[in-house]
Amino acid sequence: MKNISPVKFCPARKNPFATEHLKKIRYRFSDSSLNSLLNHFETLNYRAAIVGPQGYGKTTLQKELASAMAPTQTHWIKLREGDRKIPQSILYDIFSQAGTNDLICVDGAEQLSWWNWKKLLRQLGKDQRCLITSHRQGLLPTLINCKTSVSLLSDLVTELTFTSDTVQQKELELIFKKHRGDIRQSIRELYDRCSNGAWPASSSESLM
Amino acid sequence: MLEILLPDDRTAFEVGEMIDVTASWSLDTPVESLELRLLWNTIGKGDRNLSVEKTWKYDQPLNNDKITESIQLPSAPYSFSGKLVSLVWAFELISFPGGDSVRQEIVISPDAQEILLPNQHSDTE
Repeated sequence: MKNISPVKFCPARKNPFATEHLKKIRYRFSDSSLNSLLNHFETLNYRAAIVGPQGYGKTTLQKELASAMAPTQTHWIKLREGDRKIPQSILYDIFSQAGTNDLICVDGAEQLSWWNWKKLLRQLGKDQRCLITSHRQGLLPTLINCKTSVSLLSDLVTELTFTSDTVQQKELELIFKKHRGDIRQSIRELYDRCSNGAWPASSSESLM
Repeated sequence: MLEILLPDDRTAFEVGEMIDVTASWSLDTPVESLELRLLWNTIGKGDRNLSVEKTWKYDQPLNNDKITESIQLPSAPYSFSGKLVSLVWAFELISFPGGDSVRQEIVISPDAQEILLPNQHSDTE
């Protein structure tokens, strides 16, 4: 006879790695600060790139910089994998609304073909500002190269779960290595582990 | 201070149940309005969905006051949880401008218990 018995698991609403909690996390600076980056951005005539591999915090930093530049108006172009060009209608909407000193943020600029990237640059007004994220250097002067580390992942996990121990540290090193420093993927794996009651090992019982 | 008071301090209700919800506030400075909202949102591995089902607005409220609303809870969706997503009902009381708020989560389902999705159970002999 079959019985249905509950398996130890963490409901999504209690999962500390849920997307909603991640959105509250701020970019962690290792050897600079928001103010120093803003100053550097100014010295680059407000045209620069945040560079780094996927999952290294580029978009998080881009949002924080744009927010810190308020009241400068920001216009967003978010490109997904395979977006080799920006539809003309979107470009028209943005550049017909953008003011002289407004900030144009392009997230994922490396997706654009060289031709379409140049075309976008040509449409920028003389004093319009542009902050992009890119996996590769060379599209605009580099504002910052985003870096990650095991200790960064560990700090984020501690912030999200309020726990930290040496067993977890070793697990985090393995997860970080497995995902080649991609913090986003590392945290997604932690979400899955937590949802199966496998993280944090010491407190999974209390998650129900 | 903003506060949401539920009957008998219950936080789990049956679908369609009539309940009295009290919005209570004590403000240091006057606000333009307050809103009591009944909403649900999802939380989990993916992006958040949110739906405000009903709003009660109080314009030019006194600095200290409370208002009780008789509310019939909706018939759907049910509160549920799985590994990937949970659906959570809540009352929120928000002041404008400023956006100070308080949130009280509740469960709404046929038997007043959060539904755990089937794949959260295993067959055992």
